[in-house]
Amino acid sequence: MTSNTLRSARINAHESPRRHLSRLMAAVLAAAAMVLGSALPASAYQNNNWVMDHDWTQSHIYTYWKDGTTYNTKITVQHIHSAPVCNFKAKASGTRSNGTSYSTTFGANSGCVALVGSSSTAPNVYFKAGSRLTGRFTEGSDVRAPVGINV
Amino acid sequence: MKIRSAQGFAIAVLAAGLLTACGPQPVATHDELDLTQLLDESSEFQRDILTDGDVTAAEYERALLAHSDCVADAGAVPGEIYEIGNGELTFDYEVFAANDDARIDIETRAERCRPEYFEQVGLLWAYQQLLTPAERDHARPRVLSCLANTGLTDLPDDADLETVVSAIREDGEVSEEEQGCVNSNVAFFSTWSNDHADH
Repeated sequence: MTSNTLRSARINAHESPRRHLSRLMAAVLAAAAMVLGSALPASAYQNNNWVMDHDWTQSHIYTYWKDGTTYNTKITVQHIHSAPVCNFKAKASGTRSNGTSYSTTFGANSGCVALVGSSSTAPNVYFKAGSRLTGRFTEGSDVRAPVGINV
Repeated sequence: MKIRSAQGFAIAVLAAGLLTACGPQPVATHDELDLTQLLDESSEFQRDILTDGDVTAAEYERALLAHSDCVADAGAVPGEIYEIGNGELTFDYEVFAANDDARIDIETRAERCRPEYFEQVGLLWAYQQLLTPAERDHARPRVLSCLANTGLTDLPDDADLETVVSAIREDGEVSEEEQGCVNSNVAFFSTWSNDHADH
């Protein structure tokens, strides 16, 4: 996409039905994540010191595709928070198609960034249909947010 | 950029270090780091590095590699070291296990590695990388130009970090294009807040 195209898309955003649809989809995803997250047993979030914090607003996209013979899972995390995020890292975990367990911890930084986004692509890791990925954000030593979505 | 060799690592760390050496310490645009608190929270390994109040590129490298080695010893699979912006380096890691309990056991051990070998060293290093007001002024046009291409065309030429971030957040979301501007200008969007641990 060219810069001009991007610019036009953004300038026209307020009137664009696509924009409304995008927001609707984001809201649905967020609601789904909250439902799935709250449906998880408490123990699912008591792994080490990763705990929930619902004060965060975040979006998340899981993309799954097959590239030749390689299955890829892309996990993207992003947050919109009123204060800078320091000492950030993200983790996603789930059950693979063969029943084994997998997690990726990614995007760790040490400093404080006003807006954080990070993504990870895990080649040759694909998840059984209907299995649930859980992801978490972390800030400092004790702030996390849950993400859960069916793939 | 993936860093595939020790030499590449050294060059990346040196480059990041030069950024620090080229300018005075940051002033006034963010909180000051509390070194005493940092030392109080540090492991013995990191305290040896932090006691003089400065993290050199070699010390940063040593701490990061010790962290990576620890993660591997815990049973996780650390990836390549790469730059994440603001002169910082990082690595991702994966855990493969027969079941969730085994995975969590490995994660538990791996997650002890960062506070043991890297956390406070990384914090001070990141603080050292922060832009001075003059460096921020220099970086601003590139950031504003990038954001203008996403449609944020009303920002003043002297917009400070708070103004820029508020404009991005104004519609309640950060678009992929806007996030791209942040990710390619992480130093500009980096700051310091002593309140972060209390959120």
